[in-house]
Amino acid sequence: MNLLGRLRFRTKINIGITVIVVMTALILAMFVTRMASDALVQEARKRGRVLTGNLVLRSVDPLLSVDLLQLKTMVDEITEVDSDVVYAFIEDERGRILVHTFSDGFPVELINANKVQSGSRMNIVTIDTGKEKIYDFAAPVYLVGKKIGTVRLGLSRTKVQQVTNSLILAISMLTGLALAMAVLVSTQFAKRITARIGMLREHAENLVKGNLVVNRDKKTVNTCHEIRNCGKRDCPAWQDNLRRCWYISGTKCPECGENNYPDKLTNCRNCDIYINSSGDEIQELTETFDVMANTLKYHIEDLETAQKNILRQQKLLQTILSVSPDQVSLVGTDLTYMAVNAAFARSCGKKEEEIMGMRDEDLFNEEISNKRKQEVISIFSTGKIINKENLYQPEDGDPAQWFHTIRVPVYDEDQNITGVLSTARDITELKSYQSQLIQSQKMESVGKLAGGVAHEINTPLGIILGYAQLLQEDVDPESQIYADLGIMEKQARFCRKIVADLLGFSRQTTSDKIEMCFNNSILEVVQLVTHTFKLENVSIITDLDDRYPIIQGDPEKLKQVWLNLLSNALEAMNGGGIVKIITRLDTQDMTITAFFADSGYGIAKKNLNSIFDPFFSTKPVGKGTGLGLSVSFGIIEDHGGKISVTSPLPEGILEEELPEEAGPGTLFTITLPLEPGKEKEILSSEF
Amino acid sequence: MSEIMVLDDVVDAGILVKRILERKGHKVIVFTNEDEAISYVGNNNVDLAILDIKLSKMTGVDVLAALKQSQASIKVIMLTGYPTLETARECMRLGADEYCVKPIDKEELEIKVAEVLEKNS
Repeated sequence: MNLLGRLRFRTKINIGITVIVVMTALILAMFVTRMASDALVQEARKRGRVLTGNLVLRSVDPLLSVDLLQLKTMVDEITEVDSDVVYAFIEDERGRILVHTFSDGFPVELINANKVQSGSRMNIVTIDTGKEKIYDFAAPVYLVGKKIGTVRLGLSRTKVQQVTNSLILAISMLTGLALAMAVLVSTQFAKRITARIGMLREHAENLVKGNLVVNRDKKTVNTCHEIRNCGKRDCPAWQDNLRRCWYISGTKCPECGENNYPDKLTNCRNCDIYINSSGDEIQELTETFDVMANTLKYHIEDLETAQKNILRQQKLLQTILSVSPDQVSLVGTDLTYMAVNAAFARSCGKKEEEIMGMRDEDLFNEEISNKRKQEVISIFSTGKIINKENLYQPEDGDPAQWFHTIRVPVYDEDQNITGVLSTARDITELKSYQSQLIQSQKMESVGKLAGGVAHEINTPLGIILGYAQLLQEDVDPESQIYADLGIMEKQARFCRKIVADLLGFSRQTTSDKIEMCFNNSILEVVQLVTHTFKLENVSIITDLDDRYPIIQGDPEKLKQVWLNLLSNALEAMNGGGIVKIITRLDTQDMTITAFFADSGYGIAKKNLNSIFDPFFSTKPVGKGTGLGLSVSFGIIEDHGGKISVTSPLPEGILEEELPEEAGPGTLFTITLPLEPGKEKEILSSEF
Repeated sequence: MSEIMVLDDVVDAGILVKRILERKGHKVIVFTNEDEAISYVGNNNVDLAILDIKLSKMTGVDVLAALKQSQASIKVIMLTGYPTLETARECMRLGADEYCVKPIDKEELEIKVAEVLEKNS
C-alpha cells in the first residue's frame, strides 16, 4: 500500500483504467468464446450424425453381397469429400475390420474405444490421439432386426478450435485498441487535473512560506456584476475581484440574503451566477483555499499583534520587576523559588538564575528560613494573606533593617493555590522618619506645654515682684530686710525675663515681616542662652557691626534660626569651647551677613551636603528631631537670603585662645538682603 | 484722687494692683467676675479700668468693648500675661489707652496710671 500511495496520480488513473478494460475484455472473451465453441461443437456433432447415417444406409447392400470393393469406395469417398473426416471404417457382425481408410495400418485400440450398446442407434465419444481431439461416431447396421455390421466415423475438432482462437484474437485486438484510446484520454484528463492541483500545491507552498497575498496579480474572470451588469457599485463584490461573490459578505443582490459563507451558499445554489460560475470540486477547493488563506492572513495579523502586545507587556513587566526596589519572589508548591526579581537576588548576594529551584534553607539561616517556610506553608493551607512588618538583623553587623512583607496566594483556573507571591519593601527609612516625627511631635507638645506653663507662671511671678516692691517701701533702706527684699525682686525679674523669652519662642502666630534690628535679634538669643552655655563652660563672643543694620524680617523666625545654630554649636563642644558671632554690613551689596563659628568637632566632609536635608541628624538616637537646620534653611530662604556651612573653620575666624579640647570647628554663614525701610508702623511706635 | 476698677481672674493679682495704687491715693475696687465688673461700671462713675485679657468667661477684649459701650469716657489699661500683636491691635482699635505686659514693675504701673489719668484731664 505504501508503494501504491507513492505512485503519481496520472499513473494511478492509467492503472485503474487499464485494469478495468483488461478485466472487461477477459470476461467478455471468456463468455463469447464458450458460447461460440459450444455452438460449433453442436454443429459438428450434427454433421457427424448425418454422415454416419448416410454411410449406414448405403452399406446395407454391400455388406449382404460382401462387396468389399464398393465398401472401400464408399469409405474413401467420405474422407475425400469432407476434409474434417479423419477416418472411416466398417466392421462385420463379429467385429472384424472389413475396410478402413488408414494408409499406415489400422490402430487396433480404436475398435474398443467406442462400443455400441445393445439396442442403441448411435454412440459418440471423444478420442484424444495425442495430436488432436476426434469425435468418434459408432452406428450399427441392422437388417430385419439383425445386426450385420458396424459403421465407424472419426470427425476432427481442430477446425472448431481454430475458429474459437480466431474469435479470441479478434476480441483481444479490439480490447487493446479500446484500452489504448482510454489510456490516452485519461492521460490528458489526469494531466489537466494534476496541473491544477500542482498550482494549488504551489499556492500552498507560498502560504507555508508566509506569503499570504492571494492572487493579487490575477483577476477573476466573469465577476457577478459583469454578468448581471447591475451597476450597484456600493456592493462589496465590486471591491473584491479576487474572490467569488458567494464568499463575500454583505453583497447587494436580492437572492444573497444576510448570511455569511458557508451559510450563504444555501441561497446561492439557486442563483444563476453561482450555477454558471462555480466550477468543479478542484475549483471550489482552490477558491476555498483562497478564502482560508485570507482568513489565515487576518488571523496571523491578529496573532502577530497579540504577540507584540504580549511581548511588550512581558518586557514591561520584566522592567518593572527589575527596576522595583522591592524584593519580589514566587514560590511553588514544592517550596522552591520559581521567579525572583533583581532586588531579591541582590539581597541574597546571588544571581537570579542561581536562585531558581533553590529553597529558603539554601538562602537564609535556619531561623529565618524556618519562619519563611512556615509562612508559605500556612498560605498554601489557608489562603490567607500575610501582611506584616519585621525587623531583620544581619549577622555581619550591618544596621538592622525594617521590611514590610506581603505574601499573597496565587490561584490557577480551578482555584487551586499554585504558588505564593511575596513582596518585601525596605521601610527602614520610613521607620526612622516615624520615630523622628514622633519625637518631633513630642517636642511640639513640649513647646506648647512650655508656652502654657510660661504663661501660667507669669502671674505668680508678677505678684511676688509686686509685693516685694511694696515691702521695700515699708522698711528702712539701710536695713538688712531691705537688701533681702531687693534680692527677691532681682530674682523675680530674672524669672520674668526667662518666661518672657520662652513665651517669645513658643508663639504660634505667624507675624508678618517687619522692620527689625538685625543685631538685637541676635543679642536677645545670646542673652537667653548665655547662662546655659556658661554651665557647659562655653563662652559666647559677639563682634557685631556697630551700625546696627535694620532689615525687613520676621524677628521670631530669625531668632529660631539663631537659637538652632547656637544649640548645635553647644552640642558640638564637649567639655567647653568658644562660640563667636560676627555680623557685618555690606552697604555696597545691601546685605547683612552673620557668622556663627564654634570650636567643636566640626562636620564630616561626607555630611556637608546633607545637613540641610529634612530629618538628617548626626546626633544620637532620641536627641534632636533632625528638623532644625532644614527649618532654618527654609526661614533664611523665605527671607531671600542664603545659608552655608564650612568645616573645618577658615583661618582667622577664631583668633582667641582655644581650649585644649577644641576641634576643627564649624562656620555657618547667613546672608540676608537689606530692603528699603518703610514708614514705621503706628503700632510699632506705640510699643 | 480717682476711682479705679481692676478685673483679674487671679484675685491676688488684683489685690496687688489695689495695694500699689491705694498708696497713691486712688480708690480701687477689685473684681474677678466679668459680669460684676461690667455691672459696677454701669452703675458707678469709674475713671479707669485695668483689665486682664485672659479671664474666666470672657476675654478682656470683650469686657473692654462692653465697658466702652456702657461708659464711653472710661479710660482702660490692658494688663496681660500673654501679649500678642493681634490682641494689642484689637484693644487699641476698641479704645484702650495702654497695653502693658505682666509681670509689671510697680513704678511702671504707677507711671502708666498717672499718665492715663493726666491725659484725660
